[in-house]
Amino acid sequence: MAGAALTGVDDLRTKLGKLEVALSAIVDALVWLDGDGRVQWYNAPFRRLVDRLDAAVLGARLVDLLPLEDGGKPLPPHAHPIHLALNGRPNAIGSYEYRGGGQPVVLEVFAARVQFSRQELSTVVAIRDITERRRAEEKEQRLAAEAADSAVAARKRAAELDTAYKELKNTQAMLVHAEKMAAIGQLASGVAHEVKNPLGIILQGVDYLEGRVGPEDAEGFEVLRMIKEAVMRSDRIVRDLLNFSRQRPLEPKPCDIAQVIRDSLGLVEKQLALQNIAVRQAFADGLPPVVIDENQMKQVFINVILNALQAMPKGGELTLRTAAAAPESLPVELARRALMTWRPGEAAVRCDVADTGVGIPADQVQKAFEPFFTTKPAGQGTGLGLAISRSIVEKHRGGISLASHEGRGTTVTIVLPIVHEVPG
Amino acid sequence: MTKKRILLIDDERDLCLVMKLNLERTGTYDVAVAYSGPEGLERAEAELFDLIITDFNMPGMDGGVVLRSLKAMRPQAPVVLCSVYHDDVTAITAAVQREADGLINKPIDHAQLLRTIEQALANGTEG
Repeated sequence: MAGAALTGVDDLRTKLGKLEVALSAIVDALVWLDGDGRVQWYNAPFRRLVDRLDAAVLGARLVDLLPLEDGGKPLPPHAHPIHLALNGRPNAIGSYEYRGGGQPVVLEVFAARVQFSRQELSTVVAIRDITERRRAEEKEQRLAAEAADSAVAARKRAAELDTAYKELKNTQAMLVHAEKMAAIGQLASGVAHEVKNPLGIILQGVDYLEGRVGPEDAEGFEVLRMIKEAVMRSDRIVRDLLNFSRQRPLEPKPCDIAQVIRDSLGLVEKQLALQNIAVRQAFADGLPPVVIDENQMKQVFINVILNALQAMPKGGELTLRTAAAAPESLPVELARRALMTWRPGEAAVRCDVADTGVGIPADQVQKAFEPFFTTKPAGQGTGLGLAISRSIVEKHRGGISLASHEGRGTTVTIVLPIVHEVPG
Repeated sequence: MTKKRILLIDDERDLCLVMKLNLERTGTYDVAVAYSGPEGLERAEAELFDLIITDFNMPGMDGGVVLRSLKAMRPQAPVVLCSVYHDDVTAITAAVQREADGLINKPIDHAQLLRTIEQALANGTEG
Protein backbone atom coordinates (compact mmCIF):
# COMPACT_ATOMS: atom_id res chain seq x y z
CA MET A 1 0.00 0.00 0.00
CA ALA A 2 2.67 2.42 1.08
CA GLY A 3 4.67 1.52 -1.97
CA ALA A 4 1.69 2.00 -4.19
CA ALA A 5 0.97 5.28 -2.50
CA LEU A 6 4.58 6.27 -2.92
CA THR A 7 4.47 5.29 -6.54
CA GLY A 8 1.33 7.38 -6.82
CA VAL A 9 3.08 10.41 -5.26
CA ASP A 10 6.14 9.91 -7.48
CA ASP A 11 3.90 9.63 -10.40
CA LEU A 12 2.21 12.88 -9.45
CA ARG A 13 5.57 14.60 -8.94
CA THR A 14 6.74 13.49 -12.32
CA LYS A 15 3.53 14.69 -13.88
CA LEU A 16 3.74 17.98 -12.01
CA GLY A 17 7.33 18.44 -13.17
CA LYS A 18 6.37 17.71 -16.76
CA LEU A 19 3.42 20.06 -16.46
CA GLU A 20 5.71 22.82 -15.20
CA VAL A 21 8.12 22.26 -18.10
CA ALA A 22 5.22 22.15 -20.53
CA LEU A 23 3.64 25.33 -19.14
CA SER A 24 6.99 27.07 -19.30
CA ALA A 25 7.41 26.13 -22.93
CA ILE A 26 4.47 28.25 -24.07
CA VAL A 27 5.01 31.89 -24.92
CA ASP A 28 2.44 33.37 -22.55
CA ALA A 29 3.41 34.16 -18.99
CA LEU A 30 1.26 32.25 -16.51
CA VAL A 31 0.91 32.90 -12.83
CA TRP A 32 -1.25 31.41 -10.13
CA LEU A 33 -2.18 33.63 -7.22
CA ASP A 34 -3.77 33.00 -3.88
CA GLY A 35 -6.80 34.81 -2.57
CA ASP A 36 -4.65 37.82 -1.58
CA GLY A 37 -3.15 38.08 -5.01
CA ARG A 38 0.24 36.65 -3.95
CA VAL A 39 2.18 34.48 -6.36
CA GLN A 40 1.93 30.76 -5.66
CA TRP A 41 3.28 29.44 -8.93
CA TYR A 42 4.52 30.88 -12.22
CA ASN A 43 6.13 29.71 -15.39
CA ALA A 44 9.48 30.66 -16.89
CA PRO A 45 8.10 33.32 -19.32
CA PHE A 46 6.56 35.10 -16.28
CA ARG A 47 9.90 35.25 -14.50
CA ARG A 48 11.57 36.56 -17.62
CA LEU A 49 8.85 39.15 -17.92
CA VAL A 50 9.17 40.50 -14.37
CA ASP A 51 12.94 39.90 -14.51
CA ARG A 52 13.36 39.04 -10.79
CA LEU A 53 15.02 36.28 -8.80
CA ASP A 54 12.75 33.37 -7.97
CA ALA A 55 12.96 34.27 -4.28
CA ALA A 56 11.60 37.73 -4.99
CA VAL A 57 8.71 36.36 -7.03
CA LEU A 58 7.15 33.65 -4.93
CA GLY A 59 4.78 35.09 -2.36
CA ALA A 60 5.01 38.61 -3.76
CA ARG A 61 1.84 40.47 -4.71
CA LEU A 62 1.31 40.49 -8.45
CA VAL A 63 0.22 44.16 -8.37
CA ASP A 64 3.70 45.01 -7.06
CA LEU A 65 5.53 42.68 -9.40
CA LEU A 66 3.65 43.87 -12.44
CA PRO A 67 2.84 47.56 -12.15
CA LEU A 68 0.64 48.24 -15.16
CA GLU A 69 -0.15 51.52 -16.87
CA ASP A 70 -3.16 52.51 -18.84
CA GLY A 71 -2.78 55.30 -21.37
CA GLY A 72 0.60 56.25 -19.83
CA LYS A 73 -0.82 56.57 -16.28
CA PRO A 74 -0.22 54.02 -13.47
CA LEU A 75 -3.15 51.69 -13.15
CA PRO A 76 -4.69 52.04 -9.65
CA PRO A 77 -4.81 48.70 -7.71
CA HIS A 78 -8.63 48.57 -7.75
CA ALA A 79 -8.59 48.66 -11.55
CA HIS A 80 -5.97 45.91 -11.87
CA PRO A 81 -7.44 42.89 -13.65
CA ILE A 82 -6.46 40.66 -10.72
CA HIS A 83 -8.37 42.85 -8.36
CA LEU A 84 -11.34 42.73 -10.70
CA ALA A 85 -11.12 38.96 -10.99
CA LEU A 86 -10.95 38.54 -7.24
CA ASN A 87 -13.86 40.85 -6.72
CA GLY A 88 -16.54 39.26 -8.67
CA ARG A 89 -15.59 39.42 -12.32
CA PRO A 90 -14.85 35.80 -13.24
CA ASN A 91 -12.86 36.66 -16.36
CA ALA A 92 -11.19 40.04 -16.53
CA ILE A 93 -9.26 40.93 -19.63
CA GLY A 94 -7.55 44.10 -20.69
CA SER A 95 -4.46 45.44 -22.34
CA TYR A 96 -2.00 47.67 -20.53
CA GLU A 97 1.46 49.12 -20.87
CA TYR A 98 4.27 47.71 -18.75
CA ARG A 99 7.69 49.35 -18.30
CA GLY A 100 9.23 47.05 -15.66
CA GLY A 101 11.27 45.09 -18.17
CA GLY A 102 13.18 48.04 -19.69
CA GLN A 103 11.58 48.56 -23.12
CA PRO A 104 7.92 49.44 -22.68
CA VAL A 105 5.63 46.68 -23.87
CA VAL A 106 1.92 46.24 -24.27
CA LEU A 107 0.48 43.31 -22.29
CA GLU A 108 -2.83 41.63 -22.64
CA VAL A 109 -3.72 40.44 -19.15
CA PHE A 110 -6.33 37.74 -18.67
CA ALA A 111 -7.27 36.93 -15.08
CA ALA A 112 -9.62 34.09 -14.22
CA ARG A 113 -11.01 33.43 -10.77
CA VAL A 114 -10.67 29.89 -9.60
CA GLN A 115 -12.69 28.60 -6.66
CA PHE A 116 -10.81 25.54 -5.28
CA SER A 117 -13.08 25.17 -2.28
CA ARG A 118 -15.47 27.29 -0.33
CA GLN A 119 -12.55 28.82 1.53
CA GLU A 120 -9.90 28.76 -1.07
CA LEU A 121 -10.21 31.33 -3.72
CA SER A 122 -7.51 31.76 -6.31
CA THR A 123 -6.69 33.49 -9.56
CA VAL A 124 -4.90 32.29 -12.63
CA VAL A 125 -3.42 35.01 -14.76
CA ALA A 126 -2.22 34.67 -18.33
CA ILE A 127 -0.16 37.52 -19.73
CA ARG A 128 0.68 37.90 -23.36
CA ASP A 129 3.04 40.41 -24.91
CA ILE A 130 0.97 41.97 -27.71
CA THR A 131 3.39 44.83 -28.48
CA GLU A 132 4.02 43.63 -32.02
CA ARG A 133 0.37 42.87 -32.65
CA ARG A 134 -0.63 46.29 -31.32
CA ARG A 135 1.97 47.98 -33.51
CA ALA A 136 0.71 46.08 -36.52
CA GLU A 137 -2.87 47.01 -35.66
CA GLU A 138 -1.96 50.64 -35.18
CA LYS A 139 -0.09 50.65 -38.44
CA GLU A 140 -3.06 49.10 -40.15
CA GLN A 141 -5.36 51.71 -38.62
CA ARG A 142 -2.98 54.47 -39.64
CA LEU A 143 -2.80 53.13 -43.16
CA ALA A 144 -6.57 52.78 -43.31
CA ALA A 145 -6.97 56.33 -42.02
CA GLU A 146 -4.41 57.58 -44.51
CA ALA A 147 -6.13 55.72 -47.29
CA ALA A 148 -9.45 57.24 -46.22
CA ASP A 149 -7.83 60.68 -46.03
CA SER A 150 -6.27 60.33 -49.43
CA ALA A 151 -9.58 59.11 -50.84
CA VAL A 152 -11.24 62.21 -49.41
CA ALA A 153 -8.40 64.35 -50.73
CA ALA A 154 -8.66 62.71 -54.13
CA ARG A 155 -12.40 63.35 -54.23
CA LYS A 156 -11.79 66.96 -53.18
CA ARG A 157 -9.15 67.36 -55.86
CA ALA A 158 -11.46 65.81 -58.41
CA ALA A 159 -14.21 68.25 -57.40
CA GLU A 160 -11.77 71.16 -57.59
CA LEU A 161 -10.57 70.04 -60.98
CA ASP A 162 -14.15 69.72 -62.12
CA THR A 163 -14.94 73.26 -60.96
CA ALA A 164 -11.77 74.59 -62.57
CA TYR A 165 -12.61 72.78 -65.77
CA LYS A 166 -16.12 74.21 -65.83
CA GLU A 167 -14.77 77.70 -65.18
CA LEU A 168 -12.22 77.24 -67.92
CA LYS A 169 -14.90 76.11 -70.31
CA ASN A 170 -17.03 79.11 -69.42
CA THR A 171 -14.12 81.46 -69.84
CA GLN A 172 -13.31 79.82 -73.14
CA ALA A 173 -16.91 80.15 -74.26
CA MET A 174 -16.84 83.81 -73.28
CA LEU A 175 -13.59 84.34 -75.17
CA VAL A 176 -14.89 82.55 -78.24
CA HIS A 177 -18.04 84.66 -78.02
CA ALA A 178 -16.01 87.87 -77.67
CA GLU A 179 -13.81 86.91 -80.60
CA LYS A 180 -16.81 86.02 -82.71
CA MET A 181 -18.40 89.37 -81.87
CA ALA A 182 -15.19 91.19 -82.72
CA ALA A 183 -14.91 89.39 -86.07
CA ILE A 184 -18.56 90.04 -86.89
CA GLY A 185 -18.09 93.62 -85.77
CA GLN A 186 -15.16 94.16 -88.07
CA LEU A 187 -16.97 92.60 -90.98
CA ALA A 188 -20.12 94.56 -90.22
CA SER A 189 -18.23 97.81 -89.97
CA GLY A 190 -16.52 97.22 -93.31
CA VAL A 191 -19.79 96.30 -94.99
CA ALA A 192 -21.60 99.25 -93.44
CA HIS A 193 -19.06 101.75 -94.71
CA GLU A 194 -19.18 100.31 -98.17
CA VAL A 195 -22.98 100.31 -98.25
CA LYS A 196 -23.49 103.79 -96.83
CA ASN A 197 -22.11 105.65 -99.84
CA PRO A 198 -24.13 103.81 -102.51
CA LEU A 199 -27.18 104.36 -100.32
CA GLY A 200 -26.31 108.04 -100.28
CA ILE A 201 -26.13 108.15 -104.05
CA ILE A 202 -29.51 106.40 -104.37
CA LEU A 203 -31.07 108.78 -101.87
CA GLN A 204 -29.66 111.84 -103.55
CA GLY A 205 -30.71 110.38 -106.90
CA VAL A 206 -34.27 109.95 -105.66
CA ASP A 207 -34.27 113.52 -104.40
CA TYR A 208 -33.13 114.62 -107.83
CA LEU A 209 -35.77 112.56 -109.63
CA GLU A 210 -38.51 113.85 -107.35
CA GLY A 211 -37.75 117.28 -108.71
CA ARG A 212 -37.93 116.00 -112.27
CA VAL A 213 -41.06 113.86 -112.02
CA GLY A 214 -43.28 116.58 -110.72
CA PRO A 215 -46.42 116.20 -108.60
CA GLU A 216 -48.70 115.39 -111.56
CA ASP A 217 -47.05 111.95 -112.04
CA ALA A 218 -48.54 110.22 -108.98
CA GLU A 219 -47.28 106.79 -110.01
CA GLY A 220 -43.73 108.01 -110.55
CA PHE A 221 -43.88 109.74 -107.21
CA GLU A 222 -45.08 106.57 -105.49
CA VAL A 223 -42.23 104.53 -106.98
CA LEU A 224 -39.72 107.09 -105.78
CA ARG A 225 -41.28 107.02 -102.31
CA MET A 226 -40.87 103.23 -102.28
CA ILE A 227 -37.22 103.48 -103.27
CA LYS A 228 -36.64 106.07 -100.59
CA GLU A 229 -38.26 103.88 -97.97
CA ALA A 230 -36.14 100.91 -99.01
CA VAL A 231 -33.04 103.09 -98.69
CA MET A 232 -34.10 104.13 -95.20
CA ARG A 233 -34.70 100.53 -94.23
CA SER A 234 -31.28 99.50 -95.50
CA ASP A 235 -29.81 102.43 -93.65
CA ARG A 236 -31.41 101.27 -90.41
CA ILE A 237 -29.81 97.85 -90.85
CA VAL A 238 -26.45 99.40 -91.60
CA ARG A 239 -26.83 101.66 -88.59
CA ASP A 240 -27.50 98.63 -86.39
CA LEU A 241 -24.44 96.95 -87.82
CA LEU A 242 -22.31 99.97 -87.10
CA ASN A 243 -23.73 100.24 -83.63
CA PHE A 244 -22.91 96.63 -83.06
CA SER A 245 -19.40 96.82 -84.41
CA ARG A 246 -18.43 100.04 -82.80
CA GLN A 247 -17.30 99.07 -79.32
CA ARG A 248 -17.65 102.47 -77.85
CA PRO A 249 -15.69 102.87 -74.60
CA LEU A 250 -17.90 103.25 -71.54
CA GLU A 251 -18.43 106.66 -70.08
CA PRO A 252 -19.61 105.52 -66.68
CA LYS A 253 -21.05 107.68 -63.97
CA PRO A 254 -23.31 106.97 -60.98
CA CYS A 255 -26.94 106.75 -62.12
CA ASP A 256 -30.33 106.01 -60.66
CA ILE A 257 -31.24 102.89 -62.61
CA ALA A 258 -34.98 103.50 -62.24
CA GLN A 259 -34.57 106.91 -63.87
CA VAL A 260 -32.59 105.39 -66.75
CA ILE A 261 -35.43 102.90 -67.32
CA ARG A 262 -38.08 105.65 -67.06
CA ASP A 263 -36.18 107.75 -69.62
CA SER A 264 -35.92 104.77 -71.98
CA LEU A 265 -39.62 104.13 -71.57
CA GLY A 266 -40.35 107.78 -72.34
CA LEU A 267 -38.74 107.40 -75.75
CA VAL A 268 -41.20 104.70 -76.81
CA GLU A 269 -44.28 106.22 -75.14
CA LYS A 270 -46.08 106.87 -78.42
CA GLN A 271 -45.81 103.23 -79.44
CA LEU A 272 -47.04 102.06 -76.05
CA ALA A 273 -50.21 104.09 -76.44
CA LEU A 274 -50.72 102.99 -80.05
CA GLN A 275 -50.47 99.31 -79.15
CA ASN A 276 -52.73 99.53 -76.12
CA ILE A 277 -50.10 98.33 -73.69
CA ALA A 278 -50.41 98.84 -69.95
CA VAL A 279 -47.16 99.60 -68.14
CA ARG A 280 -46.50 98.48 -64.58
CA GLN A 281 -43.49 99.96 -62.86
CA ALA A 282 -42.16 98.35 -59.68
CA PHE A 283 -38.94 100.09 -58.79
CA ALA A 284 -37.33 99.22 -55.45
CA ASP A 285 -36.80 102.08 -53.03
CA GLY A 286 -33.37 103.01 -51.76
CA LEU A 287 -31.28 101.22 -54.35
CA PRO A 288 -27.71 102.51 -54.44
CA PRO A 289 -26.68 104.26 -57.66
CA VAL A 290 -25.12 102.07 -60.33
CA VAL A 291 -22.02 103.23 -62.18
CA ILE A 292 -23.01 102.90 -65.83
CA ASP A 293 -22.76 104.53 -69.21
CA GLU A 294 -26.22 106.05 -69.20
CA ASN A 295 -26.60 106.34 -72.97
CA GLN A 296 -25.44 102.83 -73.70
CA MET A 297 -27.64 101.34 -71.00
CA LYS A 298 -30.58 103.36 -72.34
CA GLN A 299 -29.93 101.72 -75.69
CA VAL A 300 -30.15 98.34 -73.95
CA PHE A 301 -33.44 99.13 -72.24
CA ILE A 302 -34.93 100.60 -75.41
CA ASN A 303 -33.94 97.45 -77.32
CA VAL A 304 -35.47 95.19 -74.73
CA ILE A 305 -38.65 97.27 -74.40
CA LEU A 306 -39.08 97.47 -78.19
CA ASN A 307 -38.75 93.67 -78.37
CA ALA A 308 -41.43 93.40 -75.70
CA LEU A 309 -43.72 95.73 -77.67
CA GLN A 310 -43.22 93.75 -80.85
CA ALA A 311 -44.12 90.59 -78.95
CA MET A 312 -47.49 92.14 -77.98
CA PRO A 313 -49.12 93.22 -81.26
CA LYS A 314 -52.58 92.83 -79.72
CA GLY A 315 -51.77 94.69 -76.55
CA GLY A 316 -50.79 93.40 -73.14
CA GLU A 317 -48.89 94.31 -70.05
CA LEU A 318 -45.30 95.48 -69.77
CA THR A 319 -43.75 95.16 -66.31
CA LEU A 320 -40.55 96.93 -65.35
CA ARG A 321 -39.00 95.92 -62.06
CA THR A 322 -35.82 96.74 -60.19
CA ALA A 323 -34.49 95.13 -57.01
CA ALA A 324 -31.27 94.59 -55.10
CA ALA A 325 -29.92 91.11 -55.78
CA ALA A 326 -27.39 88.79 -54.23
CA PRO A 327 -25.48 86.75 -56.83
CA GLU A 328 -26.92 83.48 -55.48
CA SER A 329 -30.49 84.68 -56.08
CA LEU A 330 -29.91 85.16 -59.82
CA PRO A 331 -30.85 82.88 -62.72
CA VAL A 332 -28.13 80.25 -63.00
CA GLU A 333 -26.26 81.63 -66.02
CA LEU A 334 -26.15 85.10 -64.50
CA ALA A 335 -25.03 83.72 -61.14
CA ARG A 336 -22.20 81.89 -62.87
CA ARG A 337 -21.15 85.02 -64.67
CA ALA A 338 -21.38 87.02 -61.48
CA LEU A 339 -19.13 84.51 -59.72
CA MET A 340 -16.54 84.88 -62.42
CA THR A 341 -16.50 88.61 -62.86
CA TRP A 342 -17.63 90.11 -59.58
CA ARG A 343 -15.52 90.80 -56.60
CA PRO A 344 -16.42 88.92 -53.42
CA GLY A 345 -19.36 90.48 -51.64
CA GLU A 346 -20.28 92.69 -54.57
CA ALA A 347 -24.00 93.23 -54.75
CA ALA A 348 -26.10 93.89 -57.80
CA VAL A 349 -29.12 95.64 -59.11
CA ARG A 350 -31.50 93.38 -60.97
CA CYS A 351 -33.83 94.77 -63.63
CA ASP A 352 -36.63 92.70 -65.14
CA VAL A 353 -38.53 93.63 -68.27
CA ALA A 354 -41.51 91.31 -68.61
CA ASP A 355 -44.14 91.17 -71.33
CA THR A 356 -47.30 89.15 -71.79
CA GLY A 357 -46.58 88.59 -75.46
CA VAL A 358 -46.20 85.68 -77.84
CA GLY A 359 -43.04 84.31 -76.21
CA ILE A 360 -40.10 82.56 -77.82
CA PRO A 361 -40.08 78.82 -78.62
CA ALA A 362 -37.89 76.94 -76.14
CA ASP A 363 -35.39 75.81 -78.78
CA GLN A 364 -34.78 79.40 -79.82
CA VAL A 365 -34.25 80.99 -76.41
CA GLN A 366 -30.54 80.13 -76.39
CA LYS A 367 -30.03 81.72 -79.80
CA ALA A 368 -31.77 84.96 -78.91
CA PHE A 369 -28.53 86.73 -78.07
CA GLU A 370 -26.71 85.54 -81.18
CA PRO A 371 -26.11 88.27 -83.73
CA PHE A 372 -28.40 88.16 -86.77
CA PHE A 373 -30.84 85.83 -85.05
CA THR A 374 -34.37 87.14 -85.24
CA THR A 375 -37.89 85.80 -84.79
CA LYS A 376 -39.35 88.86 -86.46
CA PRO A 377 -40.67 88.90 -90.04
CA ALA A 378 -38.23 89.95 -92.75
CA GLY A 379 -37.53 93.66 -92.73
CA GLN A 380 -38.57 94.17 -89.11
CA GLY A 381 -35.36 93.32 -87.35
CA THR A 382 -31.72 92.75 -88.03
CA GLY A 383 -31.26 90.33 -85.14
CA LEU A 384 -28.71 92.61 -83.59
CA GLY A 385 -30.68 94.29 -80.81
CA LEU A 386 -30.10 91.66 -78.13
CA ALA A 387 -26.56 90.93 -79.31
CA ILE A 388 -25.72 94.63 -78.94
CA SER A 389 -27.51 94.74 -75.59
CA ARG A 390 -25.58 91.77 -74.32
CA SER A 391 -22.26 93.22 -75.39
CA ILE A 392 -23.07 96.51 -73.64
CA VAL A 393 -24.26 94.84 -70.43
CA GLU A 394 -21.21 92.58 -70.33
CA LYS A 395 -18.92 95.56 -70.75
CA HIS A 396 -20.44 96.74 -67.47
CA ARG A 397 -19.50 93.33 -65.96
CA GLY A 398 -23.20 92.64 -65.83
CA GLY A 399 -25.29 89.93 -67.34
CA ILE A 400 -28.47 89.56 -69.35
CA SER A 401 -30.68 86.49 -69.58
CA LEU A 402 -34.03 85.62 -70.98
CA ALA A 403 -36.85 83.35 -69.84
CA SER A 404 -39.82 82.74 -72.08
CA HIS A 405 -43.01 80.73 -72.25
CA GLU A 406 -44.52 80.43 -75.68
CA GLY A 407 -47.89 82.12 -75.71
CA ARG A 408 -47.44 83.58 -72.24
CA GLY A 409 -44.61 86.04 -72.50
CA THR A 410 -40.95 86.76 -72.02
CA THR A 411 -38.92 88.19 -69.18
CA VAL A 412 -35.51 89.68 -69.78
CA THR A 413 -33.34 90.01 -66.69
CA ILE A 414 -30.40 92.38 -66.56
CA VAL A 415 -28.03 92.50 -63.61
CA LEU A 416 -25.44 95.15 -63.03
CA PRO A 417 -22.85 95.07 -60.26
CA ILE A 418 -22.88 97.98 -57.86
CA VAL A 419 -19.34 99.20 -58.25
CA HIS A 420 -17.71 101.96 -56.33
CA GLU A 421 -14.91 102.69 -58.75
CA VAL A 422 -15.18 103.49 -62.42
CA PRO A 423 -14.62 100.40 -64.59
CA GLY A 424 -11.89 100.70 -67.19
CA MET B 1 -29.31 137.71 -105.59
CA THR B 2 -25.90 136.15 -106.16
CA LYS B 3 -25.61 132.45 -105.76
CA LYS B 4 -23.68 131.11 -102.77
CA ARG B 5 -20.56 129.19 -103.73
CA ILE B 6 -20.17 125.80 -102.16
CA LEU B 7 -17.15 123.49 -102.31
CA LEU B 8 -18.04 119.84 -101.90
CA ILE B 9 -15.21 117.44 -100.93
CA ASP B 10 -15.91 113.70 -101.08
CA ASP B 11 -14.03 110.76 -102.56
CA GLU B 12 -17.31 109.24 -103.81
CA ARG B 13 -17.55 110.86 -107.28
CA ASP B 14 -21.15 109.94 -108.14
CA LEU B 15 -22.35 111.16 -104.79
CA CYS B 16 -20.63 114.49 -105.39
CA LEU B 17 -22.19 114.80 -108.83
CA VAL B 18 -25.74 114.04 -107.79
CA MET B 19 -25.45 116.28 -104.72
CA LYS B 20 -24.18 119.05 -106.98
CA LEU B 21 -27.20 118.56 -109.25
CA ASN B 22 -29.59 118.71 -106.33
CA LEU B 23 -27.99 121.75 -104.74
CA GLU B 24 -27.74 123.68 -108.00
CA ARG B 25 -31.34 122.84 -108.89
CA THR B 26 -32.44 125.00 -105.95
CA GLY B 27 -31.11 127.97 -107.89
CA THR B 28 -29.41 129.23 -104.73
CA TYR B 29 -26.07 127.49 -104.89
CA ASP B 30 -23.17 127.11 -107.20
CA VAL B 31 -21.24 123.95 -106.41
CA ALA B 32 -17.61 123.02 -107.09
CA VAL B 33 -16.47 119.48 -106.32
CA ALA B 34 -13.16 117.96 -105.20
CA TYR B 35 -12.56 114.25 -104.84
CA SER B 36 -9.95 114.22 -102.09
CA GLY B 37 -8.78 116.21 -99.11
CA PRO B 38 -5.65 117.64 -100.78
CA GLU B 39 -7.61 118.52 -103.95
CA GLY B 40 -10.22 120.28 -101.82
CA LEU B 41 -7.60 122.29 -99.97
CA GLU B 42 -6.06 123.30 -103.28
CA ARG B 43 -9.44 124.54 -104.57
CA ALA B 44 -10.13 126.38 -101.35
CA GLU B 45 -6.81 128.13 -101.53
CA ALA B 46 -7.31 129.17 -105.13
CA GLU B 47 -10.95 130.33 -104.88
CA LEU B 48 -13.34 131.82 -102.38
CA PHE B 49 -16.29 129.76 -101.18
CA ASP B 50 -19.21 130.73 -98.98
CA LEU B 51 -19.37 127.26 -97.50
CA ILE B 52 -17.45 124.01 -97.65
CA ILE B 53 -18.91 120.54 -97.21
CA THR B 54 -16.38 117.77 -96.55
CA ASP B 55 -16.68 114.08 -95.93
CA PHE B 56 -15.09 112.86 -92.74
CA ASN B 57 -14.03 109.37 -93.82
CA MET B 58 -11.73 109.76 -96.79
CA PRO B 59 -8.66 107.77 -97.72
CA GLY B 60 -5.39 109.65 -97.42
CA MET B 61 -6.56 112.66 -95.47
CA ASP B 62 -9.47 112.53 -93.07
CA GLY B 63 -12.09 115.21 -92.66
CA GLY B 64 -10.65 116.37 -89.36
CA VAL B 65 -7.36 117.39 -90.98
CA VAL B 66 -9.21 118.97 -93.91
CA LEU B 67 -11.44 120.91 -91.50
CA ARG B 68 -8.50 122.28 -89.49
CA SER B 69 -6.56 123.23 -92.60
CA LEU B 70 -9.60 124.99 -94.05
CA LYS B 71 -10.21 126.83 -90.78
CA ALA B 72 -6.59 127.97 -90.77
CA MET B 73 -6.78 129.03 -94.40
CA ARG B 74 -10.29 130.53 -94.57
CA PRO B 75 -11.53 131.23 -91.07
CA GLN B 76 -14.66 132.95 -92.43
CA ALA B 77 -16.01 130.04 -94.48
CA PRO B 78 -18.33 127.72 -92.55
CA VAL B 79 -17.49 124.02 -92.87
CA VAL B 80 -20.06 121.21 -92.70
CA LEU B 81 -18.81 117.67 -91.94
CA CYS B 82 -20.50 114.56 -93.34
CA SER B 83 -20.01 111.13 -91.89
CA VAL B 84 -21.35 107.62 -92.28
CA TYR B 85 -21.63 107.53 -88.53
CA HIS B 86 -25.13 108.31 -87.51
CA ASP B 87 -26.60 110.58 -84.88
CA ASP B 88 -23.94 110.92 -82.21
CA VAL B 89 -21.05 111.07 -84.68
CA THR B 90 -18.79 109.57 -82.03
CA ALA B 91 -16.06 108.76 -84.53
CA ILE B 92 -15.53 112.46 -84.90
CA THR B 93 -13.85 113.78 -81.81
CA ALA B 94 -15.61 116.36 -79.70
CA ALA B 95 -12.95 118.93 -80.58
CA VAL B 96 -13.53 118.49 -84.29
CA GLN B 97 -17.29 118.65 -83.72
CA ARG B 98 -16.91 121.97 -81.97
CA GLU B 99 -14.82 123.39 -84.79
CA ALA B 100 -17.29 122.32 -87.49
CA ASP B 101 -20.20 124.61 -88.33
CA GLY B 102 -22.52 121.70 -89.04
CA LEU B 103 -22.69 117.92 -88.98
CA ILE B 104 -24.71 115.71 -91.26
CA ASN B 105 -25.05 111.98 -91.37
CA LYS B 106 -24.87 109.81 -94.46
CA PRO B 107 -26.91 108.81 -96.35
CA ILE B 108 -27.64 112.49 -96.80
CA ASP B 109 -31.25 113.52 -96.95
CA HIS B 110 -31.61 116.46 -99.30
CA ALA B 111 -34.03 118.47 -97.17
CA GLN B 112 -31.85 118.03 -94.13
CA LEU B 113 -28.77 119.01 -96.08
CA LEU B 114 -30.45 122.23 -97.16
CA ARG B 115 -31.41 123.04 -93.58
CA THR B 116 -27.87 122.36 -92.33
CA ILE B 117 -26.35 124.53 -95.04
CA GLU B 118 -28.77 127.41 -94.39
CA GLN B 119 -28.09 127.28 -90.70
CA ALA B 120 -24.31 127.19 -91.14
CA LEU B 121 -24.48 130.13 -93.54
CA ALA B 122 -26.72 132.08 -91.17
CA ASN B 123 -24.38 131.45 -88.23
CA GLY B 124 -21.41 132.40 -90.37
CA THR B 125 -23.08 135.70 -91.30
CA GLU B 126 -23.90 136.45 -87.67
CA GLY B 127 -20.35 135.63 -86.51
